[in-house]
Amino acid sequence: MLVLTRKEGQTITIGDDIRITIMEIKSGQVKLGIDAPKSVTIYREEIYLKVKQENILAAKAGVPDLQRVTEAWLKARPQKR
Amino acid sequence: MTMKVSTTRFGDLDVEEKALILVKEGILGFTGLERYFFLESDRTSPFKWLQSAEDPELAFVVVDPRSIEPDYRIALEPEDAEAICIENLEDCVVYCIVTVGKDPSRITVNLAGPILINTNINVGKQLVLTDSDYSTRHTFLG
Repeated sequence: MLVLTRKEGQTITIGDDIRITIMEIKSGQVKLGIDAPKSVTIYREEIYLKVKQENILAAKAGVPDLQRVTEAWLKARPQKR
Repeated sequence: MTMKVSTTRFGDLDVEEKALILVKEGILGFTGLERYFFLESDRTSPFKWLQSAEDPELAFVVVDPRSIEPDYRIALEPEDAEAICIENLEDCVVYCIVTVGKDPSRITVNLAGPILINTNINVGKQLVLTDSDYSTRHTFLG
């Protein structure tokens, strides 16, 4: 991993079209400003990883599961029947 | 025009080409697979299958999140709106992926990773809601 030291207001450039600027450093948090092409999706890693991990788990669903979730849903929401 | 699609869960299916949905960048964890179609269950159920047209084994149980959380809201980022050419949210449907755990009583819905689909052009994208309080493991069982 490349490690760079930057100060508030300074920027790093990745390739031709991605720029990351240190906007603010305050009480243990860094605020970043990111300029990138629209084709590049930017995520906070922890939530990105959670969604990805959940997708992988969800893909294991078997044929009977749709019936199971429907029954569970109907049971949980009897007023909506 | 229909095409033949093999699936491990449902056998060989004839799918209308116009029913295919392009999920841009794929479902996270399964990037590279972008073409899906829906398999409806009976009308009393808000749940359906989202089956990959490219990988016979890949399918998800999905649900309209508002049948779980009636007040479900997405803060749409402009770049996501642009990615699937949304001008009007009325052109969209939203689905969330359901996880059924090893213990089938453990059923959760991933409200933090909705799939937004522009039904005019059948193009969608899985979003990652970074600023919401929605859980990837929302439970709706009592």
